[in-house]
Amino acid sequence: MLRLEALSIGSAVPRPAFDGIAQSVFRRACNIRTGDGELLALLTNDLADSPHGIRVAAPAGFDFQTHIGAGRTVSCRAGITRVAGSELSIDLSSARRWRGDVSRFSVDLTRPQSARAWVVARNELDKRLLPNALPVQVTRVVPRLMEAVREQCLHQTVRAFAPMIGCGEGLTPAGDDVLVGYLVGLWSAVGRDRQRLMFLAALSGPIETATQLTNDISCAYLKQAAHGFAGSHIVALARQIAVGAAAARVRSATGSAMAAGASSGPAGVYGLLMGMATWAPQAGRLKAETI
Amino acid sequence: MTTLSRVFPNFYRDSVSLMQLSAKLGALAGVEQAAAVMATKANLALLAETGLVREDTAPSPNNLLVVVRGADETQLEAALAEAKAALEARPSASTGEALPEKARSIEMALGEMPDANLALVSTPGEYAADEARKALNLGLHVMLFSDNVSLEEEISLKHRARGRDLLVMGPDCGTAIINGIPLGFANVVRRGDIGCVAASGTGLQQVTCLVDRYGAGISQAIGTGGRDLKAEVGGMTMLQGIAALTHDPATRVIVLISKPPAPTVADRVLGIAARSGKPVVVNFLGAAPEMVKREGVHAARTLEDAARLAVDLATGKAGGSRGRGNLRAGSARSPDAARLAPSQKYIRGLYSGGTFCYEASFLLTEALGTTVYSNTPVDKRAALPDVWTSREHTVVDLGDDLFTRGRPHPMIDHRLRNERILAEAADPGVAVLLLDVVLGYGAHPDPAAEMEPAIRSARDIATKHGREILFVGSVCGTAADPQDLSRQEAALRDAGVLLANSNAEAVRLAAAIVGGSRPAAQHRAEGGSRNG
Amino acid sequence: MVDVFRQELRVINVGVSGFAEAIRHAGGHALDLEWAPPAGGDLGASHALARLINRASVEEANRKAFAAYLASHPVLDGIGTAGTELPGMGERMILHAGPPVAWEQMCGPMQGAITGAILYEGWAQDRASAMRLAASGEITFAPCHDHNAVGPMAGVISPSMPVWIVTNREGGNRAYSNLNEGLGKVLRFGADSAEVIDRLKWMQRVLAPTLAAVVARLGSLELKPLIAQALHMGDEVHNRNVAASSLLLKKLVPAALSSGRPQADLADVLAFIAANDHFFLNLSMAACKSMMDAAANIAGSSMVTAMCRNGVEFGIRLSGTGGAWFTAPAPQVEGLFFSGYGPQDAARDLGDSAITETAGVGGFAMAAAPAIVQFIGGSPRDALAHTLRMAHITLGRNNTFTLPSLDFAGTPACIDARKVADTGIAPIINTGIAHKKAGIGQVGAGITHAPMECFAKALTALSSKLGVDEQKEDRP
Repeated sequence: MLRLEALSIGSAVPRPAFDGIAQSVFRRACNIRTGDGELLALLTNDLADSPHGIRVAAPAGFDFQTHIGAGRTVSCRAGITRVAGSELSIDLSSARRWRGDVSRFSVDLTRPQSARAWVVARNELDKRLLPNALPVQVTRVVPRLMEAVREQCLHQTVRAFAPMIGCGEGLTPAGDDVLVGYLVGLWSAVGRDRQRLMFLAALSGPIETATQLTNDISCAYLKQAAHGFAGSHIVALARQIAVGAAAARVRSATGSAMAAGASSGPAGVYGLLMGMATWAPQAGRLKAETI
Repeated sequence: MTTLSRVFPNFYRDSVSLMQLSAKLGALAGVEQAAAVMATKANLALLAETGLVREDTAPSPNNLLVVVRGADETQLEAALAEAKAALEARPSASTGEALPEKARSIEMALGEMPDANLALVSTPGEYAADEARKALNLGLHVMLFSDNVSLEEEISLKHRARGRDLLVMGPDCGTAIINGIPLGFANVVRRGDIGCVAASGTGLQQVTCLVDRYGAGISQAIGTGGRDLKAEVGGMTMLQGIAALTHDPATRVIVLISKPPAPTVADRVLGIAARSGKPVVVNFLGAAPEMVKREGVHAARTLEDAARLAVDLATGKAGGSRGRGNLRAGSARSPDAARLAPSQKYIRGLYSGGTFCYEASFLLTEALGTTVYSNTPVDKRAALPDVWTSREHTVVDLGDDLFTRGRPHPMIDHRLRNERILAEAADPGVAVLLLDVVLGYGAHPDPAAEMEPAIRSARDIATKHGREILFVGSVCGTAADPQDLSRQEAALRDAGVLLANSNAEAVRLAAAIVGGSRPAAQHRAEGGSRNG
Repeated sequence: MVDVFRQELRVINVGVSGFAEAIRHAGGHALDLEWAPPAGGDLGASHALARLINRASVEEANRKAFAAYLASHPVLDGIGTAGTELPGMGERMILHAGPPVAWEQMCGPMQGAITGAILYEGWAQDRASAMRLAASGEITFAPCHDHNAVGPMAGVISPSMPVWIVTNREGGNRAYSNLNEGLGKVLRFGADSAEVIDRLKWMQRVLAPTLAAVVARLGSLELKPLIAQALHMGDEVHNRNVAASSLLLKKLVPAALSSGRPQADLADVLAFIAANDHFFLNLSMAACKSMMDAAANIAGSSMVTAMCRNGVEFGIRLSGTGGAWFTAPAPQVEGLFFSGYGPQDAARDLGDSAITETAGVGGFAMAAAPAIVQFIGGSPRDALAHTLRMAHITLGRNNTFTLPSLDFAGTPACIDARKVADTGIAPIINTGIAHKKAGIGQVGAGITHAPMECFAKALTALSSKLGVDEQKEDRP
């Protein structure tokens, strides 16, 4: 038997019980498709928390691929997750529940500190961004997207983000990553504005439909982002901007967020900043520039 | 005594292999003592002590020495040949793979089947509660088939289960159908939108089979165990079952089956049922209708009524064909009554299903207006003094502990009932033998074939004495059951059994035969038979 | 809300196998258990077990205990004298293998070893007076385990005897064992002749100080890597120690030659060690004890921290029940006998060497030494099967001790008493068989299993200690 302890689980993880099949297995992560059609992710503890993630205290040199093959049944009963035919089991019962909910952040870019923090993050992103990291097909639709959201036109918004879905290379295409970040940015800035809240709530339906067009992993992140839930690095960055933290901390948070995932980090940060800026009155100054 | 030895030069084997060889040789015929050793000084000294070699034998550590001692030299030669063969044999190829271990505990089984969701426990009673507890702790629902589980354990288990949103069906739960899968003694029934929660196994079997017979289907059939509706247990499983069916989109009508519960429990159950928002049919076997009176709750007196009501409600027939309700003596005289001799007055019900027996008991008491004796009577005054001997009208539950001690249940093993059939046939007072035949998983593969010889013999016994015994019964089963309902019914009809569609109908028929029975001569004198 | 309606029904069938067949016949999924009453049928233990399975506090305690075991780092620090080194070692105290046992009940070899020790200590002049002294009550007898020590077979340790000192660098705890006398007429099989006493004296006067100097010259010796290497060379460091003993000798020789000790002593000492294929056994045992003691005394843990026998009883300890012993009659060993001996000559299972199995080696590493399984007429495949079976009753694998024949999987380590009782799989032990009469020696070798009764008692005690309050727990 190999019994590991889960350190933290995301808000979307049904702790006592779930049924699933291993969808894809990597050294440090294993994605599980549940009977409900959702995706859960087993992660070694060096990776960030995410809404559907289960962070596991794995010993040095641990490799999920040694213990789980794609297609294997992975089920949780009474807080213990087991893998069919494997000695591996993971105890979820004492894991801390992690909530990456940005909806209460109320990022207000009219506040000078937050605006400053936003600019610091933007500069850091530009500094570290590799050329061709963000496909032009994605970045050029962002202004239209921001416009449609500002006008609260659902139809236009859906048309605007449609080309982003599934666009790009990588485990999670860059277009999806930008959209995830963008949605998180919107939620972080929505505050208490009723109209905007209703708009975002209405938007979650079309987003969920649209996710059928991309892979399961992106789909999971997009569905969470559609409700304002995101991974810990992006949430941390959003919080730093919300509170108008000092430049050094913002830079550090931006760096961490950009390093998250194999290639999704920079796209997510870009999307986040654009999302945050959408409703800011001085959006003209802060809006997307050609990269 | 002779000693023979052989040296295998430059022949090494490790000490373990050599010990094995020694043991093997020592077991051969004619060998009193044997030793296989590397001829080291130490080993030779050891062998010298036991007299197997001479003390001055020169050591040769790289040689292997085999020594055998016995009376017959031929046998010793054979032993040495055997040793040679063993030493020179090539080791057989081994795959080196170990066979997988079969799961020995629930936790071990979860390693193999992590997505298991229910444990079906049928161990001896003293361990059953512990296994159920383990299953709950491991996050599984439980069907607790075993009986002889204490009331305290039942209450503890059900509290624990409730706190974890898990179901404990039992103890003493013989029947359930979950997600279309028959569990325990259960039938293969059509899937549909009628959900049942029952404290009686055979009651559940009857209702589900009748629902199937009437063309509708079952979404879920949840067993609660026989004691669930006692005051101490408080109907915990039934309440959970009702809640589950209330929230199950596939269930449109709910049926509850039980012997009359403790009043506080009945209250609670009916209250929850009434608030479910779905039509609920309640059969508290033999309970007064007032007990069940509640808005949105439909009372059924018999299992047959419950099934029919449920189907009507599910198919939207308002009012529909209401059940027969009460039986009144002499209402419909059966023509079969004419076949009876004057001495034949009594019904003997020989039941394998306890609930069928119970139902027959209260229905007959009502219909005939006299005492109906039983080993599990509704009224204590009707208790059979000697359960092995019937008197007057008697219905016996042959599945009761008194009969099943040390032998299989009558649904599986028909011998006891067959013997009783013959005994009843010899009683001149017996008019009708009332039987239930239960099909489905767990039951005998061919009950009709098992019963047919006994029925025939019983007839012979009666005929010898100038009587005819009337066999009346019902088959609880479906066409999809392993035994095939239509084949069983056909075989039983061939054996002369008058078959009704349900136990209640069979009881009515028996009552009509006996209640309307008058001496045949008198009957003829009144101007011919009446085919009522 | 009961959720089962949305899932596909998958049944674990516990009891009558016909039910599983029926479910499968009807198109469902069922897994049939090979069920037997748990804990050998002990109802009280079955009740206790049911309350401990998947109990959060036990799972967490076991996790801590297993982590402490894995992290342990046993190192040979040197040689000391029992009376000085062993905590609580009294002046008139003699330690023995296994759980506590009174003089009158002791088996032949153990009584013989004790009289030998008394003569060695000079507390009596002849066997008869030694026996009188032993029976008098003036000498305190105690298990080695109760004083942080372990000894093979009779396992007798008296105050003047030299002991190995092993420290767990991670936790700081120490474990001790006596030095192996070799084969033939030796104290641990109950021999108490002059030859035996003389050898013991030589070990005290020459072997011990020489070894102490050699080990000091080495600095210290890490034992886990040595054991790991030996497991790759056909040892399981309980019944087969020749590779480990050879590896030890390799380490000792260069240090010996530069230790500055008298040449004659070195020659005698190295010859003595080289002649004994089991010299490493006592060190293996001390290392294992230090690893298990690291995991001891963790409240709520059902991990077995000791298994030992005194020829009369078999005893175990659990981490969560501290120093309490749970005993049952010591089993007979099933195996093969040397020429001229048979089961009628055998002593019951004897010795602290089952600490090796407790720590995930010995019988639990049988796949490393398949030849051993021939003792009970098995094949190498059986050796693998035995090892794999132990994986069902252990908390995890020790990836420092890997088994080449199992694709370098780690040995199954750290027995969970709950799993033993629940599955009916008893821990397997490779062991030698002693003659039941004192002083004759080893008469065979084979395999035995820890008695289920020990685990039944232990679980009942653990449950009681945890103060499982059902009423409160059932109704949150």
